[in-house]
Amino acid sequence: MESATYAAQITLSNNAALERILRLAKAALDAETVAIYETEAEGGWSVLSATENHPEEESELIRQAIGEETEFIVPSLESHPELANHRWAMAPFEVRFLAAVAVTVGDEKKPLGHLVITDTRERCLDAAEGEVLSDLGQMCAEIFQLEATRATARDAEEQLEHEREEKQLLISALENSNRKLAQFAYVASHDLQEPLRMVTGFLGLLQDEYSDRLDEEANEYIAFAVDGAARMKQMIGDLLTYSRMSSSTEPYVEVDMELELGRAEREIVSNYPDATVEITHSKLPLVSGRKEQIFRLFSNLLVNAIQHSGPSPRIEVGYESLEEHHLFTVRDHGKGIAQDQHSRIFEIFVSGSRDSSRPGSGMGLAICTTIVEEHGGRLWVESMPGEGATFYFTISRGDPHE
Amino acid sequence: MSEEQKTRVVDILLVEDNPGDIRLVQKAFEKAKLKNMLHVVETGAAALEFLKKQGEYAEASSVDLVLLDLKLPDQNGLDILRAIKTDPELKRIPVVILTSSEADSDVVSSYDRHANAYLTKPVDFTGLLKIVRELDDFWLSLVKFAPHPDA
Repeated sequence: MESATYAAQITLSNNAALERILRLAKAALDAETVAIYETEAEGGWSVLSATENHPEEESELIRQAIGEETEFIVPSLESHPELANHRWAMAPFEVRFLAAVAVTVGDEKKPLGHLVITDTRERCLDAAEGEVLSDLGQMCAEIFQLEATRATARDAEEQLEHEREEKQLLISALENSNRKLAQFAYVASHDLQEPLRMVTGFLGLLQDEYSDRLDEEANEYIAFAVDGAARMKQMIGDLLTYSRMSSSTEPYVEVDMELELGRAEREIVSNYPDATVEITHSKLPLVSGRKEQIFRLFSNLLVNAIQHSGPSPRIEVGYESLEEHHLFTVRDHGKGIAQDQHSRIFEIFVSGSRDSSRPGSGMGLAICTTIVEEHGGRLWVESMPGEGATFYFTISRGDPHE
Repeated sequence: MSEEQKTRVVDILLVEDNPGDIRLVQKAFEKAKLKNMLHVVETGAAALEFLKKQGEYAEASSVDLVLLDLKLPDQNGLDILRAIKTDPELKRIPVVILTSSEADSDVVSSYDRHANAYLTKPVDFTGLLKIVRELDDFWLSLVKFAPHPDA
């Protein structure tokens, strides 16, 4: 409470409520002047509110007279001759009567201020009037406390605002960092295309034109190099795709999931001309999303299913309508995924098998995760070895960026 | 396509500065057994000189098709494209962009400057061979070129 009470210092002046107390004190106690003082941090007093005729220049004297007393009522100088030598008594001071009550809050012994009435007439207060003064002091305390609470609330709000600003700065910094990273990934993978082209192109020519003129070992060397280059090509392509994901400016439109699945199917068929792939699906809805990303999502999931299936892959695509999301499933009957691999497979550059003859990526599922997250959803898998795998993904209904 | 176009040698100008890429394209044309002359220049300025038969290219043949890379050492390929497509003597020559960039902005800019087609350089040789064969099937077998101004 301590810090809050001193915070009250600045704001209580001109308070209408304090003025009401002044009027009440004047009326109920027939006081000539009434003042409400606030105790400052260094011990001095400042006037918060006072009647017009209050002898402000005597504030310091009044303060000294009252000192540490919590209740100080002087009926008259005459009846308290011991005060005759008091500095206050000897000063050219018009006040003949002074009554004050300290304003304290809760258990706090130190007064927050004082309510003081003065009079140039000699008089005294009876018990009832003393009680009135006491009550008025209590009312002052309640106002002080209210103001302190308000001040705490204001501080808290300032703090919140400050934290909000900091959070905003952090978010901006993060967004900036992400942007730079995506840019870097794009530039790196884009610039790598040319040297990759040189390596792949001429290795291919080498194989084509010189394989019959080279011995078996040389051809093996070339084969290893070609294989490495093919994998490098796949990785760089994936990096490019991945980096484009986060900086995509594709608009959100109404996407026909069946249409995009169909497109993905056709691409698969042209890339795997030797495989007999059977893809079935239940009725799929229209969703709000990014068309090209959805196409890639299906593409990658289908490729993944085919890679882990045998010679005749069977894939089923299902749909369930949830309250806030669309839930899709892509199920295959392949070799399944062990429990301890379930989260690893979504990481970048984790491949189930180092088989470069099957194009498809170490990054395929990582890209899928990014796409799904962009659409306000989640991607996960349920699978047991030998029992195929079912990939689940959700897409948020409505705008995922709201 | 006229009989004359079928039998005569088609002159193609490749504007490309990467020696590796030049070699790959030459090899692809060889393997596709195309009956045409592949001329190569390595800068934008040389390309324009060749097309206009200026300077050292005064005796150059008339070009039927231009294969243009966007990344050239002296100028942006897009500027060369514009120069060709705004020149009354050269604008009828089909210009096929063959470049490494897949950026939408480059594709749009190229078509804005009236490129006839936009191709991305494939990473492997098989891809390049396919492009050259398709080039032959479409541009060199089906498509009719405008007769040369001096013909």
